[in-house]
Amino acid sequence: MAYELLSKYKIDTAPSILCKDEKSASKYAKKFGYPVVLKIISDKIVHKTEVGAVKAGIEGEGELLHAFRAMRGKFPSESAGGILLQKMIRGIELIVGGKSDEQFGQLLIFGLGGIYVEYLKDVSARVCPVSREEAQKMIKEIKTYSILRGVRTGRPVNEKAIIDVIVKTSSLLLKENPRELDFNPLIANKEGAYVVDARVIR
Amino acid sequence: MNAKKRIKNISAVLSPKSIAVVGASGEPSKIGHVILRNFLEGGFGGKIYAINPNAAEVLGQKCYKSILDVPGKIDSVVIATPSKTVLGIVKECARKKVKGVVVISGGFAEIGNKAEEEEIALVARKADIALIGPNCMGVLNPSLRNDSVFLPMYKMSRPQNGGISFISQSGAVGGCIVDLSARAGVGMANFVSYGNAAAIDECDLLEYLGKDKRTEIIVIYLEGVRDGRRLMKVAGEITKKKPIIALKAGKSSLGAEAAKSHTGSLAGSYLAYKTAFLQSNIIEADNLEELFEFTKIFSQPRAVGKRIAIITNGGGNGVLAADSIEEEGLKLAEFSENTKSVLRGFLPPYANMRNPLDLIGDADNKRYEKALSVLMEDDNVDALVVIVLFQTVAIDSGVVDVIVKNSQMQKKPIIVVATGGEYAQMHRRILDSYGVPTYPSPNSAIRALKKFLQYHSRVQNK
Repeated sequence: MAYELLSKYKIDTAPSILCKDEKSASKYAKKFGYPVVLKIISDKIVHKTEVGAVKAGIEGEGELLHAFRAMRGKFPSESAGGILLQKMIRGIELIVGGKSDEQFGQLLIFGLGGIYVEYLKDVSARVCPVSREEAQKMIKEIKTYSILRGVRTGRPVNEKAIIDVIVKTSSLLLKENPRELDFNPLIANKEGAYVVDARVIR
Repeated sequence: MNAKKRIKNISAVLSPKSIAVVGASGEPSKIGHVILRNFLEGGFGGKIYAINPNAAEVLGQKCYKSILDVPGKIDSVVIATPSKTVLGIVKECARKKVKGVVVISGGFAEIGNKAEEEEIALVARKADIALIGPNCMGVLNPSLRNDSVFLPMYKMSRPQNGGISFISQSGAVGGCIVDLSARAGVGMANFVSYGNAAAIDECDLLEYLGKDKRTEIIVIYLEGVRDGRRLMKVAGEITKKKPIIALKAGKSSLGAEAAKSHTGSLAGSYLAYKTAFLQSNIIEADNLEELFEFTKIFSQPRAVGKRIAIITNGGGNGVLAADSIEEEGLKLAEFSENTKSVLRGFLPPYANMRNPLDLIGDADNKRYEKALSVLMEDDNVDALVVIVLFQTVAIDSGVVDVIVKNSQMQKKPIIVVATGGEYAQMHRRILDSYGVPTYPSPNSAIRALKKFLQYHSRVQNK
């Protein structure tokens, strides 16, 4: 469901496809180019990394087939419809999220993402709608903004692409009114910003 | 039923020409006694009616059996009777065409009696009555000595007349702040303890105070709001013209533990408040001290930039202030060449002409006077932080006069830091009462200055 919303609101995602079997996984992995990621599709699992529902950094076919079988064995029901194969995007892990607040309505957050997001707590927020100007301010408000500017790598990320995601997410939140929403991680690099994992709670 | 009219009628509650106290009692421990006494002894200039069906006279005032027996018009009625009787009295107010009602009585939604409270609110709404409360502590307008706050005057001081309007959901917190304001010499336009907000809520009060000519600054203590979106809309409009300073209580995020997503656990309800405040340019204070410290700096004229000059007679305090300036993202001003040459003319040869400007421990009032006058003229300086160590031998009360004179020119913001015991405190109170904001530490002063500058720059960028 989360992925349908992403395409409905034209939010960039990492190239991905749901693979029913090992054969198609191996075919599309070749097409995307390694490294790739395998992922169980479920809106119920919050921390996918911890339970082994994600395998990132798959560098070749052998590793891919092994991981595919392992996931199928571990999550027989969740993987019945297939396992998601995704091109692995390199860049900085961010989060764009939404929450319906009892008092103020849809609240949108932005910040440094990934698996440590609850511990970093480095987020900025706005009550929706969020304009492009406000989105830009949100990006600059986080403490780790200098990381996005490429302080160590010399490669700043594409801020315009992040602004696009924020503004599109804002209209998604207002129209669909989900209870909670996570685009985490949203991976940003020089080229763009791509949602790599998404969860929507109605 | 007209919401606009009801909000307009808040003026009857705050600036009435005639009032009635229902529940006026001869028993000194009764709230109705204290309120009537406050009106009589506080010097309220309008008509005062005492209502009590069981007494002929209270505190020398003739008692009426009900407000319907009062011959003349009544602008505002204060109700301090048991909860069961309130609905009937409010109905009488509607018949008497009273515009404002303050229900002190508790025993409603706060203990679960929501239906009774809603009944009262409905009567008020139908008759366009601005009904404050129930379960509130009263209202105060020092300019008219309109005072229904049920705390005795000898226990809670009343502030002087001024430009700050303060509204508080909690009567207890409100009373403490009013008492402290009086002691600190901070003047108030209005104080409203709005209690359960059955018919008039925080947004209604903000809307009224936004238009109130006597109100220059609005301060609000709140635990929750009824309608968050309306708060943003109303406050967003007001802050274009007047600052709003808010203290939000109840920040611990209950409910966050039930979150099902990363965002859910990050975005507790307090984050929503914080964000809404930011988006409507409401200045948020984190605690009671900050509420005061942020509020009083708004007596100062607007600054054009954030280049700050620090004057001190103690090197260390200057360094602390400079650290805070850096931490809060403000800038230390670069003095102009002219300023430096004037300073060289009167400062001891071993003094540095740099910012923070150390006038040296033997600085007297004259040295402060000369330094202030040159920095007031320096175009590289947007605001001044004057640190005075009142403990030194050379300085005395005369420096207060020097600072007040410069401050009253209303050219640039001037704030004062005086750290210390009773002697320093005494001078702080004098300065505060002249509208010069003073602070107990460099850090608290710079924090307030930052909020002040941030507010004005957001107003300009809107």
